[in-house]
Amino acid sequence: MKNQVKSSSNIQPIRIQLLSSLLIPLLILWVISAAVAYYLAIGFADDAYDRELINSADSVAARLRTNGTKIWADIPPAAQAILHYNRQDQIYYQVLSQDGTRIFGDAVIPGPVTGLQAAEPMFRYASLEGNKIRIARIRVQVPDYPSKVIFVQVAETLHARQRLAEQILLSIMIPQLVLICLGAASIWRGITRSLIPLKNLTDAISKRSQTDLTAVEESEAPREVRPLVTAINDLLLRLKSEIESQRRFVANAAHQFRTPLAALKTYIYYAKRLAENEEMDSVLEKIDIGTERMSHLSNKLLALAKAEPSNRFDHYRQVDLNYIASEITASFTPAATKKNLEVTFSGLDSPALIYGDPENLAELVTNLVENAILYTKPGGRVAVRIANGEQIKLIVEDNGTGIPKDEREEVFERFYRVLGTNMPGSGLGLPIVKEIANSHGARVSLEEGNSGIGTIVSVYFPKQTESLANNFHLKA
Amino acid sequence: MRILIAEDDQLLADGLSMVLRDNGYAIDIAPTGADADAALMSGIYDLLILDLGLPSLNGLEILKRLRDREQTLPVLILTARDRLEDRVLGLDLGANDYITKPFALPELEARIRALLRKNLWSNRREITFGSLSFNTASRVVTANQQVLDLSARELAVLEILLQRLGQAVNKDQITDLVSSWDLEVTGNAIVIAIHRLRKKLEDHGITIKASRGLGYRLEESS
Repeated sequence: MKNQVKSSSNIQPIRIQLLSSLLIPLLILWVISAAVAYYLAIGFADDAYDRELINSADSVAARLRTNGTKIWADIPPAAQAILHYNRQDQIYYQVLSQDGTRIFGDAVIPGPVTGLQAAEPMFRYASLEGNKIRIARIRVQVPDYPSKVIFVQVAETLHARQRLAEQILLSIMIPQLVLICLGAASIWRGITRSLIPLKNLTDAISKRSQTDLTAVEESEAPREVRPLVTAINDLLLRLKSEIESQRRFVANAAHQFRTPLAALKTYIYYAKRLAENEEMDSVLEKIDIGTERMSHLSNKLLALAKAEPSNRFDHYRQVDLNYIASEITASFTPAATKKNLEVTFSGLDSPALIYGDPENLAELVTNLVENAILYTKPGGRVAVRIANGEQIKLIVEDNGTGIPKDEREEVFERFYRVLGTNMPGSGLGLPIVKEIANSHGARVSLEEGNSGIGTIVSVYFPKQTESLANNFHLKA
Repeated sequence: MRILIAEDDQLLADGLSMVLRDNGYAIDIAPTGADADAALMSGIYDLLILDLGLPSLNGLEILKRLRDREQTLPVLILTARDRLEDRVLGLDLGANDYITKPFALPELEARIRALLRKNLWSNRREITFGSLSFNTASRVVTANQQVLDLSARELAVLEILLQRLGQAVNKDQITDLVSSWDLEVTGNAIVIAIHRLRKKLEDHGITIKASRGLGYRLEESS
């Protein structure tokens, strides 16, 4: 059962977070840089085109003619056309007198005219019919003319300048944008790659069984994630000690039951001796059965606590399952005889070596044989077998009441009892078997017996190998 | 026969002493390890029933001290602990047997009889003296194939005499062996028990002879 963490929270994935915290300022910077670059580009364009405008004014000045009173420009019509329309831009010119009044030329260039005293060329922006224009003015000495000094003003629309400025801007901004996009892509890839160890960590943790509380490998995690791994390991450790203390609690509780139970049994025994009538005898017999059941239950609880995973490996060694199973089966012969059951054991000719805790394995066999005897009617049979194959198999077969198909999972749950079997079981027998099998890396299977009667329980143990033993020790 | 029960659970200790007294044993209870150790130094016990989880001095330490003092009485460990190591450790420290709580009383009784038989009767199942025959397992006394009806105290006294055949046992020794701390048996009671025993045995050619200053012993009457 894996719980998926809800991704509905408003925390963005790390990738998006990193990328957006990088990209947003970069794009803002890009826009600012565009504004700055545009401003500078306009400056460059002005510099270049202003010079040309001066040239145009000089050309006009060079064509000025005077006869002492009048002044005019001798510009042939073809030159005028060139002058007026240069590539994309409209060009205008006029000649002004010393006081700024127009002598001749295009009247459309707007005023006011200021700074007439300055000897250097003057530039200004103005607006003409809704278009921005740039106006250049030069001062021209005309010795033959009465006022000696006149001004030539040349104006042009700004299309060429804007084109130039735009080209400069684009040649800066497009490479920048490409750079930002490539950077973002490579950062995305980089983040994805550096998140792989985190994903591996997630996989490693989610693939674990619930009983595996060993520490997560820290050295494989990137340094930034190591504190998280350390924290997880710390939690695992605390969890382990919590489970351990739970287990100890159950074990202690089961132990604590034993002394008062022993006292109770002693008094019942004594009371039976004192009892003088049959009724009293039968009452005491019932109390005795109840007490017996309680001691059985406390023993099973204790066995379960001992079988639980945190208690593994302390007593592990190489054991012969043949020997354990035959000894335990033999110990049940009196009980079986009493119930008129036939109990048989058939083992291997050679030792069935597995790696495990002999007391827990004995407990496992005990529970299986006990169950088989309990749920088989007089006259039935119980067969215990050891078989060799890829794994070592322990098989306990009976021709008793059997376990209904749909309950074969539940019977491994603690305190689960099959309905309709009014037997004094503890409900802990098969859970103990499962715990012990699990801690030995063994698998338990439950099937119905031959021709649908009774039960076959098989436990598949891995054969003892050096590597397995090492593995167990490492885990422990 | 006098048995010390070293058990801190009073309910269990009382119950055990009731059952065992009913069997004719004299029972003392030591609720702490120190009490048990002190009581054992008197050397009057035939058997120690020892709980391992005692306060003040644990059972294994008591066992160790007992064997260090070279006291050889049989020890039966009674405990809730049942791991193999615990059992092995207890037996290695000199215990003779081991029973896990909760136990079946008939089994406990049988183990006590077995331990005492080994120690006192050298494992003989049957002790015979003249026409008298004593079964150490069932503790039944027969004379000429006839079961004798004896009280618990009479049986206890007869057992003491049978254990020491040929030698005289004085009244104080017998008193010690059948008394316990909370059940003081007086010398008079012993005299009465011996008187009754004599009566029951006289038809079968057995008598209990009293010699002044030495005590009592069994003899075949001629």
